[in-house]
Amino acid sequence: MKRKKRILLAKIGLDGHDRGIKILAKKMSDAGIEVVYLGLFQTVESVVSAVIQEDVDCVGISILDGGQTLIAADLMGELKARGLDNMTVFFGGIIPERERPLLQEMGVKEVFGPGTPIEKIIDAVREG
Amino acid sequence: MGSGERKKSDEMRYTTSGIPLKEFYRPDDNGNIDYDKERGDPGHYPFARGIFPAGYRKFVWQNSMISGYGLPEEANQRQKYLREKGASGYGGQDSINFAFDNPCQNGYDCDHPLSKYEVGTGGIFINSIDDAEKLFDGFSLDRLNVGLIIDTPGPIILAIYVALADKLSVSRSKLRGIVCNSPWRRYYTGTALTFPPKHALRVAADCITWAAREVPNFNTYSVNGYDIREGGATAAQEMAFAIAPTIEVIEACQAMGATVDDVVPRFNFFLGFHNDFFEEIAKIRAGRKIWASLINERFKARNTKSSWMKIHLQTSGCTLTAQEPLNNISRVAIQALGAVMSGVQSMSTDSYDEAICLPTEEAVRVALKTQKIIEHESGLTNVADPLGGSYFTEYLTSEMEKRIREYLTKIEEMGGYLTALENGFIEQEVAASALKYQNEIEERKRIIVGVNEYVEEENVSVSPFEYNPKVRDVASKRLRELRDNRDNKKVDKILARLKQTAEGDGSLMPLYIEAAKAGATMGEMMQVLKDVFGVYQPQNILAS
Repeated sequence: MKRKKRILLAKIGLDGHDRGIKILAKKMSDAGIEVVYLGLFQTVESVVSAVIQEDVDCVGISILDGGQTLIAADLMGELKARGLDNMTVFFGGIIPERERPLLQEMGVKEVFGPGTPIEKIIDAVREG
Repeated sequence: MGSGERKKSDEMRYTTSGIPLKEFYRPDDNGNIDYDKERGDPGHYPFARGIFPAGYRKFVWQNSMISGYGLPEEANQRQKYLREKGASGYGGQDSINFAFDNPCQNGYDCDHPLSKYEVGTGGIFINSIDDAEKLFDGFSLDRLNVGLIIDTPGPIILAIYVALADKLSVSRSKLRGIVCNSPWRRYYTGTALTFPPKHALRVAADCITWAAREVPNFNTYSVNGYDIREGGATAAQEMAFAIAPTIEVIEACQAMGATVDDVVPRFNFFLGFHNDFFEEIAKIRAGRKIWASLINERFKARNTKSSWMKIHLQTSGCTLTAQEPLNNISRVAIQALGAVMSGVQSMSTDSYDEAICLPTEEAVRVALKTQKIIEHESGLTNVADPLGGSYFTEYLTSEMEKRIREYLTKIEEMGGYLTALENGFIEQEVAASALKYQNEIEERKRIIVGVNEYVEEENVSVSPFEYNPKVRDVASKRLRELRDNRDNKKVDKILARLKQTAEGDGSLMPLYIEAAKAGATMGEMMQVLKDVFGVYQPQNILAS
């Protein structure tokens, strides 16, 4: 039997907007995805350590307060430094469309903005 | 359901929070309510119809446009722009309303490692009296109504503001505005750092009781429903979860020797206005009545002003869509219209691009002008509580009152708000409401135009606001210079006294002011408090 997909969900930095990511955690786990929810106030280091410890298939980071490009640079750098170059990373939140190509260039697989149907995110995680 | 189909008319309908609705309402739907007892004229107890008899004739609501980003001088420019475009406070005062960035909300200076990603991205920062001086340059503090939207570090920020006023020789009694100073933020969604409850209450109550004597015209506690509402709460939960913790705050002030009439006239509500027009109006009318009766019956207030629910209202950021952003102008206008019909005292209207980025100058101007259009073109400022007596409004007001009171009673029976927090009840309730709302959208039981119906193939986007990428570097350099040029021995001594006082039970406010004048930073003072009090760990509760 195929192993269930495992995703790690977290917020990095000091951004406290967690309504969206909490709903995602719940809906993903209802849809049969194994969710490791780290919650608020994580650092790049705490996320990458958890990625290794929890042996997840992908990572979802929620950002609503403008830290996306700095966070992406640090997160992708740290993943690479720990030999996780191929880890699938999703971003979601208040992220202007204009910045999305840059984030994807940095290695973020997909960026989900407000109003994205949750089914679409779940499909992306299953495929990712 | 296709876009052309309509629901059957005999299908049951509900308000957003789930109150069942009939097709129309009649005089007998309200039972025989005693008008004077249950509503009262505007300006009369129990104030369901508003706190002023003349409604907006004497004082139009204040335009308290929330803003904040970048360096203090950049944030200052945005507020000057808004002033130039007509933003005004009571009696022609200047009115400015600052959001603080995440590092500041959590008590970190700009150069702290944890501040790395968010300096000036979601609000302003004030680390020192120098920052405050730049931020308020060109505004006279004695004719300014300032909103400082910051909670746990709020007392320290107020202290820095008072230190600046002292430096500029502005009388403390002339200072007006509000510091939010709510100790509850980290306990639920929309969170920022706080101390464990007992200490958080002490820090907040110390600020409130000190200010009642020293800066008597400054509001020092925001009864905050807005954040928990944006986190997913229903209308009834918003009001109940705003009022319930305030009971603890009043009692903490009383324990410090203040009376209810010393402090409560300087409390101000911060509420939201979501999409369901009549439900929101009913929430506000019912809330005013519940507050007045609580303050009178439970706390035996003698000063009428203690019973006034003074409201600062913000339209609902979470109802805005990233899809077709210009549609948000209509959403905000409808919400602002409802807020005015509810009789609020102050308002911040959201900008149409807020689901995408921080507001651009153009977007914030449209938001401000929306308020001006309602003020000058709708005729709504002539008569107080224009919906009073509508069969439906009155029915919904009574229903909402019942539901808010049910929550308050439930929390009381659990042993009070702190217990309801610690056992996860509050966060669980909010998580469940947020999930229900999202499910309704996903299942298309709730239509959001442009999101799950009437969807455009090509998203019509807008030019987003651009951050100044140099903010953190410039701010950090300034902090280095500050620390190099101040008398560090003097600062250390004051911080040591602050620590000693925090370990005991004296007032902390005079020490923050002394420290600020000596060039100590917000982050340094917060670190002292964190070391003494510890930090509360969030529960991260998901809906079950």
